[in-house]
Amino acid sequence: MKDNRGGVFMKKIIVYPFTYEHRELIIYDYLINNFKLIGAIVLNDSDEKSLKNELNGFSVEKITCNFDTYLNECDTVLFLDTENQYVTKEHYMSKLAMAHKANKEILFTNKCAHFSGETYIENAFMLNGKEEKNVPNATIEKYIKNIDIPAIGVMGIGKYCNKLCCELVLYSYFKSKGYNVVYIGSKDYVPLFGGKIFPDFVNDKNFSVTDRIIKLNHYLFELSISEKADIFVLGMPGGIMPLNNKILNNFGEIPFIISNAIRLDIGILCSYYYERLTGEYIESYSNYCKYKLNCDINFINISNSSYRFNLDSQESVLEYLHYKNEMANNVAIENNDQKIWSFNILNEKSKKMMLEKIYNDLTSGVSAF
Amino acid sequence: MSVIFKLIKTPTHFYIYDRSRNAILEIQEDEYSDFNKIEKGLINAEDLKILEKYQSHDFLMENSVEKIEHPCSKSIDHYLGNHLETLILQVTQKCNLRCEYCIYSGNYDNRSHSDLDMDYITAKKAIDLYLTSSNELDELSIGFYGGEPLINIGLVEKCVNYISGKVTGKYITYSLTTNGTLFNDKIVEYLVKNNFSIMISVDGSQKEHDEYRKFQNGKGSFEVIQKNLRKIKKKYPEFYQKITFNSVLNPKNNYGNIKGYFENDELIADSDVFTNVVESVDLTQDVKFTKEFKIINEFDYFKLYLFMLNKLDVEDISKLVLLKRKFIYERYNRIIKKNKLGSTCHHSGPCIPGTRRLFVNVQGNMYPCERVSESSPIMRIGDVNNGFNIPNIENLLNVGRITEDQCKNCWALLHCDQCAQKADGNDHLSKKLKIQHCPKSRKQAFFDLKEICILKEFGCTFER
Repeated sequence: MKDNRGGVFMKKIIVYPFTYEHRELIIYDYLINNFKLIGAIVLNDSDEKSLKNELNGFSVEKITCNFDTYLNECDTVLFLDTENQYVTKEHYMSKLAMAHKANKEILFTNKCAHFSGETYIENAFMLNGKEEKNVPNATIEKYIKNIDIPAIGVMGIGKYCNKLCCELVLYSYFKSKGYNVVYIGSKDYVPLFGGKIFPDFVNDKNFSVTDRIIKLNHYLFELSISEKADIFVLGMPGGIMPLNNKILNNFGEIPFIISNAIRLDIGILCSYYYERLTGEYIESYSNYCKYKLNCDINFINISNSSYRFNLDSQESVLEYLHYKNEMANNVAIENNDQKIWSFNILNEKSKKMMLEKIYNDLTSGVSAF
Repeated sequence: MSVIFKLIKTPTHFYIYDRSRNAILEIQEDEYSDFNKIEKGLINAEDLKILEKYQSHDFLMENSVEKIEHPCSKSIDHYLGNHLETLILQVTQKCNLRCEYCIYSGNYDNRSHSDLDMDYITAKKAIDLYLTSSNELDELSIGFYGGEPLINIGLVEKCVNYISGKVTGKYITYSLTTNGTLFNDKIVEYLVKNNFSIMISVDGSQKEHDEYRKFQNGKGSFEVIQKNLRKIKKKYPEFYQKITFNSVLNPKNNYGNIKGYFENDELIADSDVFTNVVESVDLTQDVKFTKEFKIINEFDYFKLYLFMLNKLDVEDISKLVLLKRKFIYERYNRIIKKNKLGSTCHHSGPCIPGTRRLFVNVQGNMYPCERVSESSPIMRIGDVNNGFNIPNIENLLNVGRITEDQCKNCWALLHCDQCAQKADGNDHLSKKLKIQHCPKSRKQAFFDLKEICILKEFGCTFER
C-alpha cells in the first residue's frame, strides 16, 4: 500500500474508543508515524455528532460509530484508555474479539493493556516499547547530572488544557528545522507520533521522590547522549497543583519530579479558558512554577476548555466544558506585568508566533558553558 | 463612596459581612457601633477611620458592581448543546388522585389536569435532544413525571428501551415520581429490573395524608400506598431501601404527628424523606406556620447544631433536618474563599434554565424544571421540534436585570435565592413580583450568615 506522504508503506489504523480526551489524534492525524489513521471509533452515534461538532475544522470525517465497517478496512486496531469509568472491560473485550477474529494487528496503550491481561491474544502488542534497560542505578550516584541541551517543558493546570497539542506542535516544528528532538510526552499514545513515554519508575511509589528525580535525571542524561539530542520537549503528565482541597492532582508530584530532574529553558503553562485573565492570576501561577517547580513560565497557552465543580458534589467532582477553539483566541491578559506570552495552540497564527518566539529565544542567546 | 455590608451581632460577638469579598469579619464592639452609624446613614463611610484598616487588607472595598449580568450568559449555547444534566419527561397529565394542593388541581393558576398523554414520537425527540446535548457528561439522568406517570407506564418502558438501545459507556439513572397508588407486581418487577429510583409522595400519617391526597371519589389514598409499600418491602428489600419519600407539609396540620410518623413508622423510619411546604394559593404570600410547628422545627435545628458541634450523635437528629447540614457546609465553604467581587455579576439563585432539570411536558414544550408554571409563556424555553429559545433562556438566566439598581446595592446579592420563577409574570418577567420576594430572601440570607457565625463561635469545624 502506498501513502501520499512520500510513498512510504503505512498501515491503516483505527482507534477505539475515541473520546474528546483523544482529540489530538484527529487534530494532528497528519503527524502520526508509520500508520494512516482511517477511523476514530466512538461509542455512541450521539458522540459522533457532538465530537464532529467540537472538532470542526480538523479531520472529523474519520470520527464514526461504525466499528464493523472500519475494522474491515484497517490493518491495525489501537485500543485506547479512557477516563470514562463507565467504559467497561466488556466494551473492550467485545471489540477485541472482533478484531482478533478479523485477524487484525492489535495494539494497546499501557493503561488499557490490563483488559487483555487475562487472555493471550495473538497479534496483540503494547504500543509503547519499554526503554528502561539503560536506567542507571540512582542509589549509587546520588547527584544530579548537568544536561547541557535546551529543554522545553509543557505543563498544565489540569486535564484538557491542550498540553499534548503544544508538545506535538513543538516536536514537529523543531524536527522540521532539522534538530534531533527527544520528545517525551504526557499521554501514553505519544509513541504513535514518534514520541516516548516517561519510564515506569517515575510513577513508582517504591522509590522516594528524591530517588525518582535522580533516576530521571540520569535517564535523560543518558538519553541525550545516546540519541545525540539537540533539544528536549517534555510534556508533564498530570496537573501541577491541587485545584482545591478535594481535587488534589497528586499535588503535582510528577511535574515536580520532571522539572527538578532537568533544568527547563522554556516553560509553557497550559491554562483553562477564562473569559478574562488578570496579571494577578498569571503571577500566582508563575510564582508557583518558579518556587515549587524550579521553572520560569515564559508562555501560557489558553485552552478552549474550562472546568466547573459538579453542582451536587460539594466541589469534589469536576466537569469539563470544551468550547469552540475560537473562544480562546481573544483572551488578553490584563496588567501582564510578568510579560508572559499568551497563545492559543489551536489557532494557526497564534501558534506560529509562539513557535518563532521560542525559536528566537533559544537561538539568539549567548552560548556559554 | 459606597461600601456594601451587613452587620451581624450574636449574644457575645460582633461581625460584619463584607460583600466585596463575600466574607465575614469579626469586629470590635466599638467598630460595630461605628459601622452601625453608617448603616443608619448617620455618618458617611469616608469619615470612618476604621474603614482604612480593613481596606488596607482589601476588605470592605468600594462597591465595584457596575452591571448585572450572569457569568454564564456568553456560554448558554455551549451548556445547552453539551451539558444537559437531567431530562424529565411528563409522560402524562392524567392523575388518579385529586389532591387539593396539587399544582394541577385547578386551585392554582399554573397548571390544570388534562387527559393528555405524551406520545412516543415526542418522547423520542426529547430523548434525542438530551443525548446529543449531554456529551460532556458520563452520567445521564432521566426522570418520569406526571400527572401520575404510572398511568402511562407503557411510554416509560418504550423510553427506557429506546435509551438502552442508543447509549453505551454511560451510567444511566432512571427515576420516577409517583403517588404510589398504582403499583402492581408487573410494574414493580419492571422498575426493579431497570434499577429505577422511586420517589413517593406521602404527607404523614393517615390523618394528615388522607386530608388532601384523595382519590376522585374522595377516599384517602393512604391505605393503598401502605399496602403497596409492604408488598415491595417484602419482595424487594434492597430496592425498597432506595425508595425516597416526598412530603408536602401543610403548616395547618399537626407537625408533631407528621414527624413522629416519618421517624417511627416501620415502613418509612429507615427511608430518606424530603419535605417542602405547601405553596400558598397566592404564590406571593408566605405560608403561615403554627406556633407548634415552629417550636418543633426549631428544636430539631437546635439538635442539628449540637450534632455539628459533636455534642449529639447522628441517631439523635431528625432526618427531616439532617440534610440541611450539607447546605450549611456549602455556604461556609463559599464564605471562606473570600473571592473578590468584579464589576459584572449576577445575584445567586438562577441555574442556567434547562441545563439542570430540563422538563418536557406532554406537548413537547420545554421548561427550566418541573417546578415552574407550564401556563406561563415566559417560562417556556423551547420545544422538542424547534430546539431551545436561546434569547428567552438568556432573559430568564439574567432575571437580575429587572432589578438591576436594587441588586447592585444589595448586601445579599451573593446569597439570594431567587430565580426567574419568582418573577413569573406569565408573559414577562415581573419586577414587581420579584421585589416582593426580596425581603424574604434577605431575611433568609441574614439567618444563614448568622448561623455560620454562631456555629463558628461554638467551635464548629464545618468538616464532616
